[in-house]
Amino acid sequence: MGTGLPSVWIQTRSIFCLKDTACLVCVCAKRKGGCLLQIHMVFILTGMHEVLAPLVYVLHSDVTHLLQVRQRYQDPFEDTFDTPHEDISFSFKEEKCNVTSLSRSALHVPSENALSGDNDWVKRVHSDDLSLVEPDDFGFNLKTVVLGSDSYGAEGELGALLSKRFIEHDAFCMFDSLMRGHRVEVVLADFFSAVNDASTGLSPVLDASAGIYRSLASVDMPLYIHLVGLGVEPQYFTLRWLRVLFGREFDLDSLLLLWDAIFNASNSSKKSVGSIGALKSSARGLFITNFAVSMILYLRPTLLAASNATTCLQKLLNFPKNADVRALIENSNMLRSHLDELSKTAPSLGSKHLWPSVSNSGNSRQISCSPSFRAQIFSSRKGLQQGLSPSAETIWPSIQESYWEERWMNLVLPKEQLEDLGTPEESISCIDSELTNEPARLHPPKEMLLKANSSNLEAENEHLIKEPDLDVTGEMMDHGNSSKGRMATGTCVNNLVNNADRSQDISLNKGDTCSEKTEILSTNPDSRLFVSLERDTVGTETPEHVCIHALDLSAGRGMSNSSHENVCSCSSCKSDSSEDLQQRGPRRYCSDDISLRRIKGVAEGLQPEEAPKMEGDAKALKDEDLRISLQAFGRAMVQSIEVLENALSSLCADDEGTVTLVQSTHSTHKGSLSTEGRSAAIRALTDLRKISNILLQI
Amino acid sequence: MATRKRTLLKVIILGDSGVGKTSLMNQFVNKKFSNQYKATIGADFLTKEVQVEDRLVTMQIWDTAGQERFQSLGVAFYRGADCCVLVYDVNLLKSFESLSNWRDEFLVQASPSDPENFPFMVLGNKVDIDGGNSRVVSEKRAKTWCASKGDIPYFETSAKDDLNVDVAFQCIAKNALKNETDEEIYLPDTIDFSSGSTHTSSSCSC
Repeated sequence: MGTGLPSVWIQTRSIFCLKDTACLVCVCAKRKGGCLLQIHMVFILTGMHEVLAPLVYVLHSDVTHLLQVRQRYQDPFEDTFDTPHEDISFSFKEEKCNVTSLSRSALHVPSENALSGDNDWVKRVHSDDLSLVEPDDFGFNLKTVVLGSDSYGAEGELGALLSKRFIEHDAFCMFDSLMRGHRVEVVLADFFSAVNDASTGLSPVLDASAGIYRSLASVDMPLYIHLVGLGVEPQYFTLRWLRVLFGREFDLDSLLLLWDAIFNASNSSKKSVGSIGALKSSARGLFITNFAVSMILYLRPTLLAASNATTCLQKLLNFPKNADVRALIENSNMLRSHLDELSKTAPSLGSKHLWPSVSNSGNSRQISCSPSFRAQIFSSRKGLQQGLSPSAETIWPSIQESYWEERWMNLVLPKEQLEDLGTPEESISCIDSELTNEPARLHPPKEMLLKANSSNLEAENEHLIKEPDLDVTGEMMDHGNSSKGRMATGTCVNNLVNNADRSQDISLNKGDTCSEKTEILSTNPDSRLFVSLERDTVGTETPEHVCIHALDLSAGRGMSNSSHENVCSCSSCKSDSSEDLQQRGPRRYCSDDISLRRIKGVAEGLQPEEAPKMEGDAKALKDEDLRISLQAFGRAMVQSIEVLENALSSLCADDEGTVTLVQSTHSTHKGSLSTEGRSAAIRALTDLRKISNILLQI
Repeated sequence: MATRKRTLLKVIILGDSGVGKTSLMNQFVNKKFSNQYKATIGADFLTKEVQVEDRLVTMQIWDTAGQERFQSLGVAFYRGADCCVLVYDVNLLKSFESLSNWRDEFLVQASPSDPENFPFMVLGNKVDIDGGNSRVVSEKRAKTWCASKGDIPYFETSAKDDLNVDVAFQCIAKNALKNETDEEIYLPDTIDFSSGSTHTSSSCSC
């Protein structure tokens, strides 16, 4: 090994033409002796220099910046031990000294000027450094810079942190720990090695790639199936992503942001539940996996639109350079909490979410498991479909809640809302009362149920037709006035969703026996939540919206352009913020319209055959059919009502004579929605009337 | 049902690092050459439509990293190949000597049904350097080697000067296609929805 150095040196120069980088590594190798030559060799063989280069860049720019600051503010950097009047160096060391006074002394501001206000010494700060100067802690960063470069070492060797002499040393240490870190999980050098792991039979990079697909499968099954079906294997693109830590996919500024996030995550191993694969076992590995998944999701629309592997790979291998890396990072953090949630709420289900297919054989073409998986996830939904079998095919698109957006939101939103509003006792009691109410609804004989529903419908219908303005305005005022009450409603509703979700999960485990109950739980609270959440969110920006915006931004942004646009599902609508209402209103109405028509069609189809029989014996099967169709009616009604509410609220906002509160909350709705809203409202009303007619005829 | 002959040809370029695989591909597809070296990580590909006799075929040219070990890209990657291009640098003896390794390893990984007749192609690249004075592998030596491996077609190329690049890839396409027609693979190119599918637009009258 020892004799290899000169030849390596020559080879490095001739191959890479990166004199500085190559030089740096050679120096390191010389200093540390032969043991490092192996890293050195690997470096030459594979282009790890792309990992090293950003490190060197950061260190170098730090030092350059320090030099600039040094030139501009020479005084604080000078050794002033001998000057009795200005005790600058010592003042830095006084820990309890307040920041402002430190900064002033650091900038060498005469004490009399300090009294005359901050403006004077702000002028002395160079315009380029204003970013360093925060109004609340003026000069804090500057102070750090000064301290960090103190040749004596303000705190031991800390002073050597920003030294030009040690750039190479620092870069090497950082590079080394990144490449083959000690007792850590994510080791970049592994991604370059071809040694197969004993347990999985895969090389580390293949294992990690498979892990990325597993995560993708758990959040977006359709996309996963699409990619696997086309034969797009993860390593074709993740190989490059992982080996240089996404260095080829983003420009330097974005990359540094991303690396900050990556290095921020702990790299020490932890034994988490269901941890499979090289990347799964540390926070950093998890982050990298999730980030890769969020990158894939960013391309979701184009990927789904692609009909062959070539197009998919072209997209994945040429990731858009202008992608917002912050949004991607945000997204991957949300993915993480989503996966955490999955493993917490339903551990047994969680293990199913972690797909075994890829890791088993190294060949990811194992779609055979997918139908059963899908069936498990959506058993309750499918039951619903089968109940409405005449148009089962057309129903499918409208209830594609399998899509990750929906599930993700359901899982992430309640958690965030709870964190923000956290009133456990209250919410629990809410759930209890709601939950006990829900099954009770089922028990009355079907005719009673029918009557109740239809009368409800009539009542609501009349209500809406006769006094729409009053009704809605009243509601809006209620919500506008009692923000606390609204929050409580939100919590309660979210808990319901959470609960419904959980019970759904549980039923999935138990099988079909519970599916009935699940349906009730998932559909009924859903529809109610729908309305109340919709009201809830009008005109207010809560953290949940922020998170949805982020979601929209990064992953869902392309949705509207996509040829695979989802028919807007209930829950993606329910959390729209007020700004979005304008845009999404019409589209949502379309989807509602479709589903409404379909349901009506089904009901009309059922009518001649089923209705006479139902008058006779009340058999369990028909009971179920009836219940299902009634549920469908219920949802259709709620959807129509929702449309009406939106339209009416915007109408109210348009009307100058209405209450100012309403105006303020709905000022964003003014404009284009009004005409669309009116026609939508009229259509929804006629639909509601049709439903009530159908129900009456039964 | 509309069917037509499969027109996607998967071509894999192999060879030591720095011999010019990426440059050859870029010259052929994009007509561009850059003196800057940027190592390929993993694999990358470009596509180009080529007219071969009376047929229009799409070449999917996979450029692999010279340092890449075969295992990292998975078995499926090599199995689908229609042609394998071996590249070496005429100025670098080692890159020529490792051609045998590349060929053997490819045959192991791809395990084609007829290894003897699988279409290979050898390209001696960088003939432009120093006016040919620095070359260490003579054309005769390269051709001898090619002949010993079952008459592999051989071209001397320069990605920088665009020498023989088009000719070579045209030949690659032709050979890949020749090999392919023996198998007589027909794949549906488009799916006809009009005949079989039901009307899904609306199931009700309203």
